[in-house]
Amino acid sequence: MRAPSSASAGPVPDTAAARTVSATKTYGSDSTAVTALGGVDVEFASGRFTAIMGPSGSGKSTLMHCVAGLDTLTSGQVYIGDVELNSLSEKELTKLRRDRIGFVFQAFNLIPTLSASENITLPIDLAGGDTDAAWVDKVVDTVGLRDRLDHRPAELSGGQQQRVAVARALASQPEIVFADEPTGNLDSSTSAEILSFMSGAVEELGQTIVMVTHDPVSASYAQRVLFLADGQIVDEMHDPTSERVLDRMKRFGDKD
Amino acid sequence: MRKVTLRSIWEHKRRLVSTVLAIVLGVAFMSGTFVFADTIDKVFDDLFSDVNEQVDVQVQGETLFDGGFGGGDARQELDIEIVDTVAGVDGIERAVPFVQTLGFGATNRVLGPDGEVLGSSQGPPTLLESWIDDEVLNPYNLAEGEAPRSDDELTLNVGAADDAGIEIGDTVTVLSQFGEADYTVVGTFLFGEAESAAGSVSVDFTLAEAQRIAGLDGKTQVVLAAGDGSVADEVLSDRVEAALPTGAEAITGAEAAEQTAASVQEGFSFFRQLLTIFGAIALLVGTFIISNTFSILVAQRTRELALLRAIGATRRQVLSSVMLEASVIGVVAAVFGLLGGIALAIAVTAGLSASGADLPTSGLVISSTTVIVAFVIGLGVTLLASLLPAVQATRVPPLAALREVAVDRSGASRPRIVAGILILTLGAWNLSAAWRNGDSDSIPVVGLGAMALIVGAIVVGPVLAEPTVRVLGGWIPKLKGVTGRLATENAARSPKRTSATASALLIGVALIGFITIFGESAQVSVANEVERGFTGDLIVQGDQGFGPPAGFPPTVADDIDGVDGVDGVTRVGFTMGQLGYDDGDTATDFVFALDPESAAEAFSPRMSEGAITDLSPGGIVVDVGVADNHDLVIGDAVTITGTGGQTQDLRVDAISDDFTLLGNFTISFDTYGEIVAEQQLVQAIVVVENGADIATVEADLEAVVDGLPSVNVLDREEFIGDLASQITSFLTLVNALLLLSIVIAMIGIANTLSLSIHERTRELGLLRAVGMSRSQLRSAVRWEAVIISLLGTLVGLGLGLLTSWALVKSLGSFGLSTFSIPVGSLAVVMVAAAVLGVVASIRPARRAAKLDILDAIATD
Ligand SMILES: Nc1ncnc2c1ncn2[C@@H]1O[C@H](COP(=O)(O)OP(=O)(O)OP(=O)(O)O)[C@@H](O)[C@H]1O
Ligand SMILES: [Mg+2]
Repeated sequence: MRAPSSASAGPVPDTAAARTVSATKTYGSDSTAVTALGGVDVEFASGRFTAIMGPSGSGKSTLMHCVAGLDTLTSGQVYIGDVELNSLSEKELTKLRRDRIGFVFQAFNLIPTLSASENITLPIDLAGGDTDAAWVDKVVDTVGLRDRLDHRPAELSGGQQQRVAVARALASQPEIVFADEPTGNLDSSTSAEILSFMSGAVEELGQTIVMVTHDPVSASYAQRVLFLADGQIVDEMHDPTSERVLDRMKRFGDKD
Repeated sequence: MRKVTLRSIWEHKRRLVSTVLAIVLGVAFMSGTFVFADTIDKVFDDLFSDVNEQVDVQVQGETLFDGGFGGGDARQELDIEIVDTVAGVDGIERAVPFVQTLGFGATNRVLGPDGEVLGSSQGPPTLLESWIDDEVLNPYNLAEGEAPRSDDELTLNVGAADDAGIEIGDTVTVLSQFGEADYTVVGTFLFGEAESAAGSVSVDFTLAEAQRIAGLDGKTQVVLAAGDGSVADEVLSDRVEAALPTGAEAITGAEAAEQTAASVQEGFSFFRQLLTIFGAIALLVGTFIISNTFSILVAQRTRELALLRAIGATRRQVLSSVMLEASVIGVVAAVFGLLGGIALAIAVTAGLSASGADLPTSGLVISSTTVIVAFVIGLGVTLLASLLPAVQATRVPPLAALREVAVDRSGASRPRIVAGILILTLGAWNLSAAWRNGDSDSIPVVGLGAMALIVGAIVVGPVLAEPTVRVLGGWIPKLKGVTGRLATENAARSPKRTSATASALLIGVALIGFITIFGESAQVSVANEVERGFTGDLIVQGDQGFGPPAGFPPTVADDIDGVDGVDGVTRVGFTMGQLGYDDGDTATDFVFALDPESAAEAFSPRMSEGAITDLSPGGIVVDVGVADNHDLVIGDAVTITGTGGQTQDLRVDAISDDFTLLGNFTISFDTYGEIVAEQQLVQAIVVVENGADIATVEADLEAVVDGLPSVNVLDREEFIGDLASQITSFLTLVNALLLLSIVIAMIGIANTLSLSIHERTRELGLLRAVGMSRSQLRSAVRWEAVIISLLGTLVGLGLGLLTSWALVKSLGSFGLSTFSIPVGSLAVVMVAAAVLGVVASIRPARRAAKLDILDAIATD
C-alpha cells in the first residue's frame, strides 16, 4: 500500500466542518448483524472538497447519512462544527439540516410541484428566513440557470435538474454540503459541468463539500479522496488525479 | 394471476380499510333501516293476527279515501242493522259490531285519578273501544272485575291500569269530542297473556257509549263474525259480501289483520323512506370514494400492471384481477355493513324505547331480503365504482413498465368540457323555469335542473379543479409560506383526483346548503305572513308535528270563552277530507273549519277574490293555486267527503291567497259538523278585551288547558317562534341524517390523502432531508385537505343556494314570500368544512410526518 501523498496538499485548515469519533453503525442483531461502519474517525476540513470512494457496500452512504444527521450511529460521535449530533432532538436535527447542511442526491432531488427558483430557496423558505438575494443571485448565475428559473423540474434536463439541486444546496450558505453520487445518472460532459461548478464553489465561495462517488474522474475534482472498505477508512489521497484514483480502486478489486 | 391479486389486496390492506369503511357505512344504514322496519312490521303483524285469531270474516265500510299519515283509510260508516244481515248469512255462527276511536293529541285521551294522561303522545296509541259481548270474538280476557254494563263504566288493560296505579272502583276521566266525562273502572283485562297490545292503552265501554264517543250513534265501523267451521273463511267472506248492501265489504280475518298491521306500519313508512333515501345518498357518495380510490391504486400500480402485461398477461386478466379485488372488498364491506346495520337497528329500537315509544321487544328480524340487499348493494356499488378504474388498468401499455410512474395530471379533455357545459346549461335552463313560470308546477323541472347542475359540476370538476384550487389556495402561502404553497400545489397537481374527492363532499354539502337556505327562507316567510295576517292576541293549539295536527275537544273553546278578559274566540276545526272537482280530479288534503264572523277578528288573510266573511254554510274558500289548477271561480261547485263518509256539494264562496294562514280549503262549522263524526279543534284564537292584560289572560288560559295533553297557550311571538321551530326541528333531523354522507366524504378525503402521500414518499423524504420539520409537513398535508374540502363545500353551497332560490321562487303561492340566506349558518358550514378537512388530514398527516427519511429517499 502506497503512503498517501500529502506533499502537494493545499493549506490544511485548522477547523473541521464535520468530524466523527469511532463512528460505528451496525444493522440487524447478533447473528445477522451487518457492520456498515466499524469505528470510523474522520475529519472534513472546512472549505475543502472531499470525495469518498470505495466498493459497493463499503459504507459510503451510511457514513454520509450519519454525518449529515439523516441517520443515527450505533455508537461513536458525529460533530457538525462543535455540535454533537447524538445530543440533538429530532426537531434540532431538522433545524440543523435546514440551516447548516446542504444535500445533493443522485436523483429525485427536486420537488416536482415547485419551480426551479422555489426549489432553490426551499430550505430558506422552510426556515421562514429572508433570502440573501445577492447570494442566491450569485449562485444562480454560477450555475447558469437564470433563464430556467420559472420552469418546473419536469421541464428541465437531468443535468439542469442536478444543477438546480446543487444551487439549492448552496443557496442557504450551509457549513457543509453532502452529495451522494450527484453525477451518477449523468453523461460525462454534463457531469464535468456539475463537478467543475462544485469545485468552483469550494475555491471561489469557500464552500465545504463532501461527495460520494464511484467515478475516478469525478473524484479527481476533489482536493482529497477517502477510501472506504468494509466500514473502515483504509486510505486517503490528496490532490487526486483520475489515474491515481483508478489505480487505487483497482487494488480493491484485486483483493476481492 | 389470482395469487397476484390476492397478495396485492393483502399488501394494501391498511389502505383498503378506509375504502371499505365508506361502503360499510352506506350498507349499514340501508340494512339497518331494513332490519328496523322488518322488526317493527313483525311486531304489528304478530299483534294483529293475535287480535283477529277468532275472527273469520270482517265487514267494513268501503274505502272513501286514503287518510294518509298511517291513520288508515277513511271508510264508509255502517248502519247497525248490518250486524243482523251478517248474522243471517249461512255458515255464520256469531256476529258483533265493533267501534274504535283513536286517541290523538288531546282528544280521546284517558286521565287517571291523579289527572295524569295515560300513555305517551308519541308512542303506542290510546284506543277507545266497544267491549265485545262475545267470549269467542273478544280478543281480551277479563283479569279482574267484570265487563262494562252501563254507560258510565269502563274496563281497561292491565298494563295501562298498573302504570297509572288504577284500581277497580276508581274513577277515571275520558276526554272526548264532547268534553270530559267520568267513568267507574269495573274491570281489567289481559290481551291473551299480555298486559297490553304492544303498549297501547285499551279502554273499553259499552257499545252505546263507544258509539257516542265516536259520534256514531246507531252505527258501527265494523262487524266481526265467526263461522261455524263448515266452510273456509274465503268462502264465508264471499257469501257475506253477497249479502251486504252497497257501501260495505267483507274480508277474511287474516286479511283484516294484514290491513290493520299495514295501516300502523304505514305510520313508520315515512321514517323508513327517509332513512332509505339517506342511505342511498351515503352510498352514492361512497361510490365516488371507492371509484377514486381504485383509480389511484391503479395509477400507482401502473408499473406492476405493465410488467404483468409485458410478461404476457392479457387485458382480460388484468381487468379481472382488478375486479376480483373489488369483489373481495365488496363482500367484506357487505358483511361488515350488515353487522353494522343490525347494530344500528338495535340502537334505534333502544333509542325509541328510551324516548317513550316503547315497542314490545320480540327480537330483531333479519330477513333474507335484508341480507341479499346488503350483499347486492355492497358488492354492486363496489363493482360499479371500480369498473372505470379497471378499464383504465387494461389500457396500461406494457411499455409503461419501463417508464417513470406518472401521476395522472390530465383533467381537461375536450369531450369532458363539452359534456360538462351541455349538462350545466341544461341544468341552468331547467332551474330558470322557476323564474320563467314561477309557480309550483315547475318544481319537478327545477328538481331536474338541480340534479343536472350537480352532475355537471362533477363532470367539469377536473377541468376547473386546478384553477379553483389556485384561487382558493392563493391566500394560504401568504399565511403559511412555502408550506402553504406546497399544499396548494399538491391539491392542484392531480385535478381528477382532487375533484373526485371534493365531489363526494359536494353532494352532501349541496343538500345541506339547500335544506338550510330553504328552511331559513321558509321560516322568515312564515314569520312575515303570520305577522301580517294574524290579528289574534293569544292562541291555544295542539302540538304540531308530522302529519295532522293534534286536536282538542270543541268544549275547550267554550271554557276559554268564559275566561275573564277574553273578547272573542275563533275556533279552527280540522279534518282530513277528499275534494272532488268538476273536471273529475280528486285530492285528499287538510280541511280547516272556521266561523267566518269570528275569523275576521283573528285573521286578515290575503284574498284573491272575495273575503273570508263571504264564507257561508255550504260554502268553501279555496286557495288560488287550487282554483287555478281546476279553473274554479266564485260560485263553482266542488264536493267534499269527510271522514264521516257523507259527501256534500259545496259552493266556492271566496278564493284565498294565503296558504300559511288558511291552507288550501276552509269550510264553515255547519258543513264541518255534517261531514265529520268526530269534531276536533286544532286552534282556538283568542282576541283579548281592550284594556285587559294579555299576560294575565294567558295565565288564566293556561289554567284552563292545564290538564290537557299536547295543548299549549302561545302569545303572538311564541306562536311565530313555534312555527319556526317546527321547521327548524325538521331541518335539523334532515341535516343530521345528511351528516352521514359528510362523514363518508371525510373518509374519502383521508383516503385520497393517504394514497397521495404514499405516492409522494420520496418527495416527502427529500423535503424532510432539506429541513422541513414534522410539523411543517403535517401542516402542508392539513392545508391540502382544507383546500379540497373548501372546494367541495364552496361549490356545494353554491349549488344549494341556486336550487333553494329556485324552489322558493316556485313555492311563492304556498306562502314562501321571502328568499333569505342564513349567512351565519352558511359560515358555520364553511368553517365546519375546514375543520372537517383538518380532521380528515390527521391520520395521513401523521403518517407523512412519521416517514423515515432514509427509507423515503431509498424508495423507488
Ligand atoms: N437499512 C439497512 N439494513 C440493513 N443493512 C443495511 C442497510 N443499509 C445499508 N446496509 C448495509 O450496510 C452496508 C453499507 O451500505 P451503504 O449503503 O453505506 O454502502 P455504499 O458504500 O453506499 O454502497 P453503494 O456504493 O452500493 O451505494 C452494506 O453492507 C449494506 O448491505
Ligand atoms: Mg451508496
